Amino acid sequence: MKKAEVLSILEHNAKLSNQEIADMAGISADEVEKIIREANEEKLILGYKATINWNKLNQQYVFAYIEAKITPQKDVGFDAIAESICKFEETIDVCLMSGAMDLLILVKGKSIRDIADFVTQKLSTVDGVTSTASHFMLKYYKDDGIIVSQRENNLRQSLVL
Amino acid sequence: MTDSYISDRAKELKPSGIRKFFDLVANTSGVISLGIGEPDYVTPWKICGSAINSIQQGYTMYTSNAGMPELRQAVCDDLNRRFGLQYKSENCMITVGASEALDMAARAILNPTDEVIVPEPCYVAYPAVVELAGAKVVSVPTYEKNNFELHAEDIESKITSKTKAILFGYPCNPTGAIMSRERLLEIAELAKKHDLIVMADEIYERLTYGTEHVCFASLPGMQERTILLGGFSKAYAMTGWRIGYALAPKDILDAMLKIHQHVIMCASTASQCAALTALKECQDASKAMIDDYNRRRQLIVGGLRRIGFSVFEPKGAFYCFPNITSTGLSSEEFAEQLLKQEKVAVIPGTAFGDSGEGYVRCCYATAIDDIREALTRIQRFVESLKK
Ligand SMILES: Cc1ncc(COP(=O)(O)O)c(C=O)c1O
Repeated sequence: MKKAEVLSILEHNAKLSNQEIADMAGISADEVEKIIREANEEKLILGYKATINWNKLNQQYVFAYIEAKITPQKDVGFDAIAESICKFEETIDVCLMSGAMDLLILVKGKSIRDIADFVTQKLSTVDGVTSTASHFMLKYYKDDGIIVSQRENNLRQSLVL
Repeated sequence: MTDSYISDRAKELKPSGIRKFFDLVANTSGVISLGIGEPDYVTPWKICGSAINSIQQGYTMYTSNAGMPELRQAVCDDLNRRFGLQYKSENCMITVGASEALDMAARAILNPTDEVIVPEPCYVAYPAVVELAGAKVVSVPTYEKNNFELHAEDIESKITSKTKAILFGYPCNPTGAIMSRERLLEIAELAKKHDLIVMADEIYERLTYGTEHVCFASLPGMQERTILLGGFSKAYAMTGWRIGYALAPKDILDAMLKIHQHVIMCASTASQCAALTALKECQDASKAMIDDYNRRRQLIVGGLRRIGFSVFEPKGAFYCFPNITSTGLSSEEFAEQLLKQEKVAVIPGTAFGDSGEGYVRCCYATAIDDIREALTRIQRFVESLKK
């Protein structure tokens, strides 16, 4: 399972060089190169991005999770509606969910107003979307597996050994 | 002036060779530290939660001196199962870290004329606890060419009629070395032949990479001669909880317990509840951390080798111990100049005994990006030396 190992290393840190990944996985850099090239071709790797603590920057973003109920369309089911929602640049994640709602959509905007506009003017006008419920995020405690406060604070005190 | 109030014993105790180093580090900003031997993880949440829960339920009193019965039993069960040992609760006490266990062991068995064989380079507390117990340290160097393993023939020449015990810790801080079963069997033979006690500090036993740890007490006849020391600090990222244990034949354990009753009473109750959860429910979390240390281990060893150092392959703990003699610097010079020039903190090998000259200790329980940046800086430092 060298492939899974390489991808798992990469998932935690996309900045590593092939040589570094090779060291960590105990294989050659050539093998790493091959695995990553294939994973790109197979669309196993969908992108590379940084985890940003936006709270620290003056220019803050507003994030919201939006639940949407939709009426499935003939033949294409939920997919066609979900895919058209994906095209809005405000959306970050779009997932089909089990339970009371159908889609869970993560959106990002510069202000609450931005997101309100997105919901009222874009999302709710999509054919098949029957209702929405917006949940604004107030504070991030853990982001992409990283506990924010622990990243910010160095809790270590000085000691000998 | 006030010096006259200080006991001879306290005066004679050598200050840790690492201290002045950490003072330097504390006063410089932007330092990447490969210095402190401590996991960079916080304790798995389940463990923290069980301690909070215990406090809410009112577990705020002392426990039995030897520790909570369930925890002592769980420690015995865990070791018995993994290593085929036959410990009972009466052989086990819960301590304030392996640190306390080490001290209790030394105080319980050592007389002022006794000698204790201590392989070097070794954890800084080993010589200190022996000396505080009034006994004499007889150091035995270990060598890179022998994979920093302890060889019976190197010990045998140092054994006298006063030799009471051997004190070692594998996987080893600072070298990352482990001991093979064959080598340990030779030590066991020596222990039998010369009637010695073995104090085995196995606090890093869960942190081995690609090989299984051999528990010294599990060798034929050795449970009777071993004081086995361990703890939760390293494998469960619980350094701040101060919780560990000692296992020993009943008469030795009783002697340790007598001292512990007076000077400690019992280990922290909340920490004992946390430790029980760690043993019973957190093997997966521990394993995930150890798998991650393994990646970092390979990253740092590969990186240092590519810079040009000869690096002994560490198979345990979370340290690597590169040979820096090719730079022409002593360990202290290397560590000090690297810190001043590139703000990377490593520990000079000499902090762990004279035989650590020519090496520095790098702890890789550090964020991957910090290890990468440290490697870049070390490379720049080494290149600057060539000019
Ligand atoms: C070899 C060794 N033994 C014992 C200890 C102390 O561990 P504890 O936190 O359980 O007191 C350490 C900590 O650095 C160590 O490296």
